[in-house]
Amino acid sequence: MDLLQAFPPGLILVVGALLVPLLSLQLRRAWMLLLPLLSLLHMWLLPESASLTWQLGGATLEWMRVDGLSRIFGTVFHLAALLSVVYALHLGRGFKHTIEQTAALMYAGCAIGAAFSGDLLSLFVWWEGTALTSVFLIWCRLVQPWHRPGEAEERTAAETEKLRRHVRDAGMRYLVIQVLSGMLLLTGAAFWYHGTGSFDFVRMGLPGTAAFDASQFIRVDWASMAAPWFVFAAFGIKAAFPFLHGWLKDAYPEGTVTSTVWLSAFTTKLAIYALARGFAGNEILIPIGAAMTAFPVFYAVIVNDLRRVLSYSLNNQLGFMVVGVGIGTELAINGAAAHAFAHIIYKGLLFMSMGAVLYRVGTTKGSELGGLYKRMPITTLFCVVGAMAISAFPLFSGFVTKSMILTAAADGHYTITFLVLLFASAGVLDHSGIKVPYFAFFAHDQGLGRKHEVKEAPLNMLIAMGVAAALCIGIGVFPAPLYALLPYDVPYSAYDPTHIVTQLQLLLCSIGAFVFLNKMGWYPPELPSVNLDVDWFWRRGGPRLVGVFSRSLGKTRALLGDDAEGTRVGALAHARRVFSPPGLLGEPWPTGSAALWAAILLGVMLVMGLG
Amino acid sequence: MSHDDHPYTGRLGPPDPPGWAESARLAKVLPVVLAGTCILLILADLLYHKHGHYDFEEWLGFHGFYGFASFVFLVLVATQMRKLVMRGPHYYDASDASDASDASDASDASDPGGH
Repeated sequence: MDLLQAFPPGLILVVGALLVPLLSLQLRRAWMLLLPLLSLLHMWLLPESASLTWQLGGATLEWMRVDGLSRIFGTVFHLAALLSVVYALHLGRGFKHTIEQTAALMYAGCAIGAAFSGDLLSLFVWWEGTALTSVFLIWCRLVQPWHRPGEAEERTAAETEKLRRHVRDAGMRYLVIQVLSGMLLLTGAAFWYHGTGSFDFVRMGLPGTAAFDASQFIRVDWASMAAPWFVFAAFGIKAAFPFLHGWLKDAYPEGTVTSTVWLSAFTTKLAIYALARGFAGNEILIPIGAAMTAFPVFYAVIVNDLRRVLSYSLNNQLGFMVVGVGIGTELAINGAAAHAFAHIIYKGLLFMSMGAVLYRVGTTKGSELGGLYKRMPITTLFCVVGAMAISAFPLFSGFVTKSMILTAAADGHYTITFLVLLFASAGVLDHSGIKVPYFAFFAHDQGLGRKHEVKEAPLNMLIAMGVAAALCIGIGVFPAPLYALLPYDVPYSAYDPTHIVTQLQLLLCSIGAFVFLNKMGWYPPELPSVNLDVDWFWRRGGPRLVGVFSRSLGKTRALLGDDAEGTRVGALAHARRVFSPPGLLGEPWPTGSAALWAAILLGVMLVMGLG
Repeated sequence: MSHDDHPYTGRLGPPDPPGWAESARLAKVLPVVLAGTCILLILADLLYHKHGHYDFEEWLGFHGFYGFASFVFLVLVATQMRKLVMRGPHYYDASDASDASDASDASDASDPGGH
């Protein structure tokens, strides 16, 4: 048993993944199936409150801490990894690269490791691990620039090159933002140590809000007070808070058929876990979460790429969890954790079904699909199950988890939030419940099914989708095992007449609204388009500004002529004065500010690298 | 089937023969069944003791009406939002590179959004 407790959960996946490129195809498949099972077994054999600590300088780091909250996220992360492995088992036939599988397993391992970190520095290491591994789930399209087998041969070299450039840029944008989140976390950790004398990852209250707890601090200065805000911002980026969400809808639809399924499971739910551990009960999360449930649904109505619709939908679902964390009661935290569990599975299922379409048809653009139910009936069925689960139909998983959050909101008398969540529930039904299955499998047949002689999805995909669909129904019908996994022991039952009838009213009348709008011709058609969101600011706005700036700089230089050279020499001499030992920036600094400056510097370098 | 069957994109090829979901009878029956179910569900509120957290939750069929109104509001607002945020499908491609082939893509005929 000692050996089991010698390393944290997730490490088996990270180390085991290194073997993946070395194995032959059959061995690799067996190994990839075995790894999540081994790792899950390891996690479950660890006793509650198992812990691993080590000393770094004067600080104690706890790189493993086992409790209920870690365990439920760890469990569902393993489950997601296993399903994703099965879904991706066909990879490798006539394709030698293993970047995707290796990165994916390491990514899952990092997310699991993070969920068991007891201190902010260990959390940072895993946190950055998820960023650095997951970017290869986008960049793997550089070596596999197709979705449908045979698609690559139909493209010209110039088109392939253009696609590669597109993918490279998308990955770079994703990486910059993920690493930025890591840098904020590291800065926050340094400040937290400065303020509290410990790296412990405990519940924090945001200074300036009602949740603030001054007794945690041994020093009260600006750096200590900034610490929780830095950590909060780091989590907020990965949880895709409003205005910090651009990376999610930008990056996830750029993955391969299989890699987007991996991406959908880990990063954002790790952020939800981190918020639940670090910021439960910070009421500022309630309006943030409510806004997250509401605004993505408007985009989801008009976006054309159905995997992008699912990304907006993911953002909306995170909102429900963030509200739960913000309310912070035991029921609400249970609700957030349970909803994350159910969500990982049904969202994975929906991405899998769209992946299957992508694999067979080569596109998930709503404007080009339709009528595939005749050619992919089983995938259609599984997609509809996922759609019903996310829409929270009674007897499906979303119903037994989302209702906990709504109940907690009503219990706390958050009336506006409650009404926004109800509105967002109708929104979920629109984009994930109706739009995704309707435009992919029903609606107008645009002819791509016949053109590409589309067949049902490969067997391994069907098995993965089948298991996920069974879980969606299983959790909905028998929620007790999931409830038993929850961090707090709060009696709850979703199945009472009021809940069932009112939820059915909401859903069926919303479907009625869809039929009504369709009949009137008011439902917006799918259009090939780009819809501007906050990522515009760094994809277009920022570069434009830099362009204007550098052009005017060039003009100024030309105007100044020789004087410019004199200015440059003067500036260098000034810099030497400032940075030399007696200068302002040459003095020894406390670690907190040094970390801040390092982070700012790195940030500036990254932004410049991006441009 | 002509190219103009779909008003926005045009078909990409001949479609498959229609299946059960495209039957005219289904298109007629489905809305009626749905409307009937909604009415029954709303009336079902009278059959049990409803215990909402708020008074408004106890109004007859509150969730049904709220869902219908939310859905219509959402779709109509989102449709209007297109005027503000929608651009052509190659909007970002044109900024990624400056070569001429991208510029010609950006003025694709199927491009519905303005620039």
